[in-house]
Amino acid sequence: MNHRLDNANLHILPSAWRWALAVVLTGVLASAGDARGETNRGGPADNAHRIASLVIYPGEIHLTHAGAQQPLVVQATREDGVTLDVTDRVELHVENGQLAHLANATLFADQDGDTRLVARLAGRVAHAAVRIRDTHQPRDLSFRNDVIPVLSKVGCSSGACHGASRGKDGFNLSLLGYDPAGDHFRLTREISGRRINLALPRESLLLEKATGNVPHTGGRLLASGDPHYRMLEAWLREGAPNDAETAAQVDSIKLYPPAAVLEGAGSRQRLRVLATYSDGTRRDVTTLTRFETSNEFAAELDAELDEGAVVRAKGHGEAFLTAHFDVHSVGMRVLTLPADLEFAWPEVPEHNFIDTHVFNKLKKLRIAPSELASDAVFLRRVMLDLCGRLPTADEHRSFVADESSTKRAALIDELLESPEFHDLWVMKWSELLQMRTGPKITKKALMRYYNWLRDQIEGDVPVDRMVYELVAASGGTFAHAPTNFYQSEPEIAKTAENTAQLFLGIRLQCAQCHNHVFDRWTMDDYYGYAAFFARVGRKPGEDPRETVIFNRPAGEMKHPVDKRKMPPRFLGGELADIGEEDRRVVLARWMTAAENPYFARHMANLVWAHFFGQGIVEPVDDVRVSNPPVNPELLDALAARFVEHDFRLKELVRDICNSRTYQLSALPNETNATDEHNFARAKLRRLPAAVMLDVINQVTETTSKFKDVEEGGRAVEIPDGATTNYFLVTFGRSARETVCTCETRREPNLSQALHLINGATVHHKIRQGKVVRRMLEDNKSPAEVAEALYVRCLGRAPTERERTAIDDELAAAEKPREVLHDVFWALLNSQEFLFNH
Amino acid sequence: MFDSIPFWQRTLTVMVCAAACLLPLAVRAEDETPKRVTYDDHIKSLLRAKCFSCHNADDRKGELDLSSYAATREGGASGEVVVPGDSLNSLLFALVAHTDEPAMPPESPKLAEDSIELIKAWVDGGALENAGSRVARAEPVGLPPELTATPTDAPKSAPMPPRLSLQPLVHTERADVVRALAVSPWSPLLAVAAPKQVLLFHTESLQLLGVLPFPEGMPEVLRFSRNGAVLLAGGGRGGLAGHTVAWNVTTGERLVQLGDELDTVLAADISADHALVALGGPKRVVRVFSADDGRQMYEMRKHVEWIYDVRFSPDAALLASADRSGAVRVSEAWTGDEYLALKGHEPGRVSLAWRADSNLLASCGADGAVRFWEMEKGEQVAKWDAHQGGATSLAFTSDGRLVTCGKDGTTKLWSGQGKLLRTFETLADEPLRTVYCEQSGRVLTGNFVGEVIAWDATSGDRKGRLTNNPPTLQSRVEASQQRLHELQTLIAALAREQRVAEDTAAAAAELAKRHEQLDDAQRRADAARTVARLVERDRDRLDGEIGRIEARVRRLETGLPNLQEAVRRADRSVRELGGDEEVRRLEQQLRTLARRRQGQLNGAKAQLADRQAKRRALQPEIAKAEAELAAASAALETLRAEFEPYRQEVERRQAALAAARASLAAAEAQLEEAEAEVVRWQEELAFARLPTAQE
Repeated sequence: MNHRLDNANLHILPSAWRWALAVVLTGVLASAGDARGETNRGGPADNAHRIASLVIYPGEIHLTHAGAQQPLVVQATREDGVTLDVTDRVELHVENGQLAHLANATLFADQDGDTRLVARLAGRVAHAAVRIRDTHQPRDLSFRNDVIPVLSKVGCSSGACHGASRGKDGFNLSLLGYDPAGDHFRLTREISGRRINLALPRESLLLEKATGNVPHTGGRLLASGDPHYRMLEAWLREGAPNDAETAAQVDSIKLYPPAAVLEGAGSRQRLRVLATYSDGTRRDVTTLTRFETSNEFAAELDAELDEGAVVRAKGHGEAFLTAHFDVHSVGMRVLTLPADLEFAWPEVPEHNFIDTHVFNKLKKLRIAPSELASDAVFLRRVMLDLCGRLPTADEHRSFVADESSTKRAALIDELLESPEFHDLWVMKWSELLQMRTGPKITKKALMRYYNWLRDQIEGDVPVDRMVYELVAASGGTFAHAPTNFYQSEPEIAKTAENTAQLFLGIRLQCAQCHNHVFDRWTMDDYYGYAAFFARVGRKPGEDPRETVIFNRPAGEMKHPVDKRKMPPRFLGGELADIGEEDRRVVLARWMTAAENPYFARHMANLVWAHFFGQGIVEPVDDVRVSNPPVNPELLDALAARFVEHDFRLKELVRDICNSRTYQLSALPNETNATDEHNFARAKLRRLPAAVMLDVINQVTETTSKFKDVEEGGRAVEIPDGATTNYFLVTFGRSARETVCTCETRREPNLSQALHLINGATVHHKIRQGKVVRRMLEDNKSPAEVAEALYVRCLGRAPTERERTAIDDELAAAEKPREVLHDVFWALLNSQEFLFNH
Repeated sequence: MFDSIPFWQRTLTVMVCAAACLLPLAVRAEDETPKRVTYDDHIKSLLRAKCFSCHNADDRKGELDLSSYAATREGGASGEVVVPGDSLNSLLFALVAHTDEPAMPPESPKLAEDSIELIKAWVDGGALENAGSRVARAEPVGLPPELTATPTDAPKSAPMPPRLSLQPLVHTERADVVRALAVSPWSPLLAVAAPKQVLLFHTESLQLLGVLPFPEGMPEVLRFSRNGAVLLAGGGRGGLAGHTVAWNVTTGERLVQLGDELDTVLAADISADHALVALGGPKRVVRVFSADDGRQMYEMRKHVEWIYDVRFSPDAALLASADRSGAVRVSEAWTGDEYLALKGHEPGRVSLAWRADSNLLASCGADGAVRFWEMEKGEQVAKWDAHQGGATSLAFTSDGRLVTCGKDGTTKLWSGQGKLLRTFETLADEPLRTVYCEQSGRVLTGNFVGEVIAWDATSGDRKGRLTNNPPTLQSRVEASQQRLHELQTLIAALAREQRVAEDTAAAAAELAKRHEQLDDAQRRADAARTVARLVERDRDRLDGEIGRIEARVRRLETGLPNLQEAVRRADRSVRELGGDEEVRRLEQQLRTLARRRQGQLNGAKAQLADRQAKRRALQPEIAKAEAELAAASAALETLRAEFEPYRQEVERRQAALAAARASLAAAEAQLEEAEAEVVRWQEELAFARLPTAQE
């Protein structure tokens, strides 16, 4: 403040001035850059950026009670597919101004009648039909529809707090409100006078704790002016009434907009959720909805704002947003693209429908697929994936030399007919079906079961037939092998969970005790499905070691909350018409029907995951609303194809292996380096334990002895999950104790590395197999032996650098054999050997 | 120099300077930091709300207890947290101001600016404990000696409160649940818990006798001491604070306040000798204080759940306590040493009651059962199911009977052996607390919607109902004035009605006349009937005679010729038989007979003619009588038809008049009462406004 103000110094503002100016400018900038956000400023007004269409959401607006209002979302789509949230920029207008009026992008009901809402922007027009009824009829407060959602949203009934099974300090709410009747009792009368105060509602502990007015371990969840607080207070003022039996239920929810493609980090899209109730009313429930994003790096959610939720783009990628309200979950996809991205789709051929769908997605994401893998790489990969072995040196040579343009397809056809193909799939199904001896499954039964499975796979029996036989199995565990399916789990509920996970890819477990938190399954769904298995009976057979699985004439599943008998209901479907049949037969029919929405997709996904290291839905047995397929069109197409092929495995495998997508290289390019989910390049996959052991045996020309496998047999042929050895355990072979595909571990760990480096397996087998010795005796030079080892193990010749290094070692060594053993050892320890790439 | 500054620069300078000057005023205008900030007056309540939940004597996070001045000065694991005079270096200030880590309170919004300012001011001002040189607790906190003299004996006179203000501290739109009820052992006095106050009622008249303010919050437990001289209340603010308060019943003054809990007090009791006060609540610790000097005697930490009830035995030797896990413990009252652990109840609310001889403890719980425990070994000596769904309250009578209430809506009276003596009416809403009043012989039960119902224990009749949400005196005055006004209006209206109704007098006279006419017509008709009857009787008689005579004539006429023939034959026989005397006698007889019969016949014929003549003469008389009768009857009917509705109308009007008179009388009778009511409430209101009436 000591600067003198004179003309000479005018252009250098003194510090105080700067301070003032800074304050003023900050204010101006802050107000400019707020939620009313420009999603796309300026930019070249070329064709791609022109607005192609405009949509108002919801497209049909129903205002169904006094004081009803509908916040709007108006979305514009550009020619290039990018979407813009233009709600604040668009010109909105109600045709009949008497019936409704607009304020803050929200439509408010004034009088009953029908009219239209019109939006205009950049020469485009959008309409929404408006239907207003019952403006004289106020909406009553409902405990279930007003109070419970607030408790869920604000966090009171979350699993970490009072929704935990014991609650906190004696106050227990049902998790996210699955038991409204019980919650009402616990809030109002469990301890009279403690939790609510009907005389002085504001002094209710429910409000005092939630606002932090009295110490609350759960923290401050509400402020006293909040709409949620005011609603709770209004409910208390009315005497904390419970709902009548006829109170409306939530029929469905819709999330608007249904999808978004955001360009540029920071660009935003507002979200609104509309609930429709069984009494015909509708309500915007955005402030009561829980939102989640599947990929924070691509898009994040900002639901702190009082008036709704906003998704904001961050990095380049894709996120799936899920909205949960009541027992309903819906999702929307958000693609996020960087601003000013220059991208040109390369000219690449599509081998089949798989490529079409994969590439469609990549185009949307502005990601280019990697190059096609070389013949050598392809040969090794497909051999491992189809046969679980490496190509021999001869196979390698002849394939690489083959000039035919259809050699890859021919190879695939050939491998599909080899016996090793079946082995891999028998092993996969053995893991899923938990084939292992145990307290209930004797060796004899297991072998029968295993051999039955072998017969199915080798006979190319359609998968639906096989699953039908398993689910509907009745009879003795010796006489009718598929009945062993029911021996791995005695409990009804667990059996139901297992079948759902195994055959439909759905994890119902959470819904046993409360409504699923991230998915649509309620306890009703759970127990209605489990009811299919409520009559499975077991009795000893004539042979004391045999158990007979049969259908009992009686047996019911009771809902744990209100103890009512649950009739069997198909998942996500209708009540089953059982008649006199075995319930499981009815279920098996539904499950394997071509129209079943889950079965074909899940089976196709399992097959896909085998070849790509991850499913289109990942984890493969965790299908849920909040875990959607990365490419739903692809999955649908695969499923349809699978059904067309009558559920025959080989045909689907043929389609997959012939696609360009499968044959892509694992090397990333600039555009797809960060994408892990969309199959733009092949994934590096560590060999499964059994295959790894077999492959080591193969290249070292040794064998391992496994129980129940004939001499010289392979690890993939082991029937019993309980049979194992140190190597297999270390490398994560599935013990088959659960149906979860996650039992097979592929993560690296220290034991594995150490075992390969120092352990007996590699070391002994190199010596035992005498491969090097035999090659040297065959008059191969050490350099040639080294090259042969490379081809044998890696499917390629050594590079110049490698060759030089080996030659140096050979030159310096006395015994070439030892050096070659070391080379062999090094090869067996290399990533290139241990991984499928 | 200023001239050379362009206008806009000058204006902006002025504006910025003005803003800078005004800014501190704008911030400070709302709350002045007090001149002298002390722990007791300012800091403790601030810390209680935000800090005590972790930094209290029990929990001591970071080994820091802030719940007392001494403990605050002592500090915690990081050493001293308060450096008097130097707030910047005091950890207490630095952590709440977020100039150091970890930020306090953790995982919560920062404290409000003025709270932080207050703490700063306190520390900088020297971290004073309290204002002035007043020693904390200079006032004696004990109960006045005259009350402790002989607390276990019956008092000389029933302790009743003096005239107290009837003005409730709060009146709410909806009544609170009845959280606590207590009845004095020696007086017809009932204490009822209400929001921010304890209400005193007379158990016979069910009138409100006084309001004892409890501005600390909600009272959760009420107890009269054994001689009825002291009323103890425990309660507070859920989740934040609680303590007990004792009043002198005969003066209505607050005597003492004990306890400083971090949650409300749910259970409290005062020992029979007025020496000990026990309390407990959600903090799971039973604390016992000396009522003489207020110091804490001991804590009992054996309970693992919320304390729902504490009761001293009548002989003040034992203290029973019950918690939410269903556990009941009995300890030695003076030392807190464990004596018995009684297991049996399921988790939930448990209530306790001692039998008068202190040898038996009764408890009831969420399983609906009442259990009796003997105090030698703690064995359960009786158990019976009292209420389906849970028994919520129980009390002994002085003669060993038990009254209980439960979730099935009923209140029940049992003998000391568990035999059900009476079930009182089921209440519409859940009963929560029940007591038995010796003086009035009544059972009183409080329920979820704030009502207390009183029944006579012997007959089971409902005697009345009161509410724990009494109206304010202003509204009572207004209501009584309203009623008076209504009554007066009503009386005026009724008087008018009565006047109107008096017009019936004329109508009544008219009615009497018509009545006379009716009587006359009746008489005429009766006379005509009589005449007609007589005439008819004659006719009938004549007809009868004629008939008989005709019959005789016919008979004679039929038989006579034969007889005469017989005579001629006989005559011939005589001549033919000649000289037969018998035949001649017979013939003579026959002849005589025939002559006689002939005479009779002639006579009869003459009679017949006579009768017939008379009969003919009667006919016109008959006709006349019948005509007269018909006329008279017709006249009567006509009169009657007119008369009946008229009569009814008059009856109605008379009834109306009677009713109007009755109503007026009744209303006038009430008028006096209503006038008295208005005066009464106005006086109460005036009394309540007196400074001394407000404690």
